[in-house]
Amino acid sequence: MLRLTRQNEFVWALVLLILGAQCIIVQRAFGVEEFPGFIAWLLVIAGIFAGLLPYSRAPRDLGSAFVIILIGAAGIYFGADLTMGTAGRMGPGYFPRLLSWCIVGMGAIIGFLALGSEGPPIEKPHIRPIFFVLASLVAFGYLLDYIGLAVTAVVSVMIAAFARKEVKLLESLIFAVLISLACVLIFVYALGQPLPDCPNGFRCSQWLLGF
Amino acid sequence: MDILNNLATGFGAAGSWANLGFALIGCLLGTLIGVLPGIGPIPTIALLLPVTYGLNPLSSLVMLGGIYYGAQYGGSTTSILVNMPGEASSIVTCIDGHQMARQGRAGAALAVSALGSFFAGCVGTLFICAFAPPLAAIAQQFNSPDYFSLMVLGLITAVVLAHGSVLKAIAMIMVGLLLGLVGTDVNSGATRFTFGVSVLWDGLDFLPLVIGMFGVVEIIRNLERPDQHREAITTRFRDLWPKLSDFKEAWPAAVRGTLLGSILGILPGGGVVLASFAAYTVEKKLAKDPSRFGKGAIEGVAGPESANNSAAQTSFIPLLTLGLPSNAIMALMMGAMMIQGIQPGSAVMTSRPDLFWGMVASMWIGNLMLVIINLPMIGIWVKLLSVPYRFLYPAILLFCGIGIYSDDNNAVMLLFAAGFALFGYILTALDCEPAPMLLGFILGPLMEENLRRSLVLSRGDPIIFIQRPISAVLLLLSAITVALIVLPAFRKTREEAFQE
Repeated sequence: MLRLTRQNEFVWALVLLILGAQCIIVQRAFGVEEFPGFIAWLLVIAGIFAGLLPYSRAPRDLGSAFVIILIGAAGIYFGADLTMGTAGRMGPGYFPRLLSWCIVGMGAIIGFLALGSEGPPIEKPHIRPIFFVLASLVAFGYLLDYIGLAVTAVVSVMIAAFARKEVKLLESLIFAVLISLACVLIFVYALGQPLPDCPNGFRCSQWLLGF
Repeated sequence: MDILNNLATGFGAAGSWANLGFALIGCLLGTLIGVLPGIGPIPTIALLLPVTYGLNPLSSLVMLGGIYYGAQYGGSTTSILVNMPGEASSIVTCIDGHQMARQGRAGAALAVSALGSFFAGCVGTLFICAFAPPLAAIAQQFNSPDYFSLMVLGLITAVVLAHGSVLKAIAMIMVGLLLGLVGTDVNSGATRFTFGVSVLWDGLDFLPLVIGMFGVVEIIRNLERPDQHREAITTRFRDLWPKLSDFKEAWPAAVRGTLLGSILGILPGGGVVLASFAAYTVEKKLAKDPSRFGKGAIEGVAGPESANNSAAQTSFIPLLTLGLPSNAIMALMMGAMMIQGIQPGSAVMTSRPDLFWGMVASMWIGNLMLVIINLPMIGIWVKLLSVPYRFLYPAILLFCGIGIYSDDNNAVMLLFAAGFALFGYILTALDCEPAPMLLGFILGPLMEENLRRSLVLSRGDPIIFIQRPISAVLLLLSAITVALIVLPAFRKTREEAFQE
């Protein structure tokens, strides 16, 4: 069972665990918070899982257990201030806390089973598409208010084009301009959506034609 | 005669020129997005939801219905012509449909699937007319404990029929329930999990969550795969008419598929996927020569296609009568209705009969539209199929952005969408299906409300869930379902069923 070749992971696990535990102990004992409390707990949980990972033959299940437990822990931690109430007169905290504990429980069961069973490995995430697709989406929202739909659409399509390895700049640019034109015509003029299509919330037609 | 009267009300409401137009536009848009390879009905509906916001409730539901049928049907076209299923229910159509297309019978496969779907749609609509009023009458007897137990049953059956690990699906539902609780608690006015962010006071917005988790994640996953050479088999309108012999072979399968689909669609947690798989298996068992299946048997297209369409209709029954969405698509529909200010449930039928029956009528109209627009326009859809993905995805992403932004003109929503996309990506990478989460998310506040009310009634004693007969029966059914999952024999057949 022991795979000492995975020493790196073991060291990582230990570091995370100790760091997290130390934060929590210091906070409890002296009332000094080095990190926000949840991050300390996150470190502890991450440490436990990093330590378990080399022993698991079903890393994907173990990983999902980690994510699920983390969500449940977040529910417990951030819901701690809410009034609990009693079963007969439930406060706002009753159901969330009940649920969060159930989630942690489910996560623990999944994690426990993952230790004994065979399962697929976790695939390495492809950073490139994730980064550029999300960047394009966020850029769209934040640029729209300032420079209007027409230019934003071009920028956002261009960012998205980088999500693939083979970037053809000229082709993407032509396509971006065409699709931006189509979007302005369809969404702003045909469907009348309240989107600014020019900088400063103006409409292009106002600026060009005066209406 | 009640049915006829009701239908007349419905057609009166939904048959206006404006609503017919919305149904047509909905079907067109739904097919347009649904036909794109790799985009199933959930992302399609999510993407097109914002388009329906500005309309009045009935028109928006009519259009949404159109989008749903369009998306469903568009998926079948892709399966037959490109062998790329957009979602689980069209995998079955791929098996024989694509083989038929390779043998030069693409036209026949498409026509049989369209006509079979139309027939199934008609029967499905009648099913709703027949079953909705009695079910709604039963639902009127329901009290908070019964609703709570009903939701438990609905969520558990949804888990059994989800693919992948049962435990993960249950965990995902709970995570969804928790996410549904974000925002202001209606009873006490306390804000929960809002981190002082004022946008969260009304709860997490539905649209960024759905588009992020289903639309954007889909795009990222498609980009990860190396470019597949997509070869669309072309067909012309002229070649569409199936031969008489095709008809003879297909129609009994279509009838069987329709009936099976109608029944399976009503079950909570059932729906489209189960129906098409079951129909395929039945056809294979009944066939004189099962070896033809997988090599272009027309029954293998007619049966599942009819089944998934009739199930698509009848899965509206639990939603419209009990307020219980039976799968992720219905959860989407429920979300869309709630945005329009309609709380789905038995009350809709009595308080807004025009809305209810109008929607039922619009289902039939939507199905008719599908046949009318799809068969002549098949050439256009085929052209669309051959557009390379490198042009498709930036455009789809842009539409996602516009859709989320125009929801309430807030750039923060796009940040949320990006966050949910990342979360959804992590979940799918770990084999956790996000679909059950959507069910939980929609039902979260309702479930808490009903749990609270029941326990107030009983002064905190959980025995109330067993004392009330309706609730007890529902809980018993849930327990049986859980027992079934745990039983090894059943688990084996379930796994085998998903393997196929």
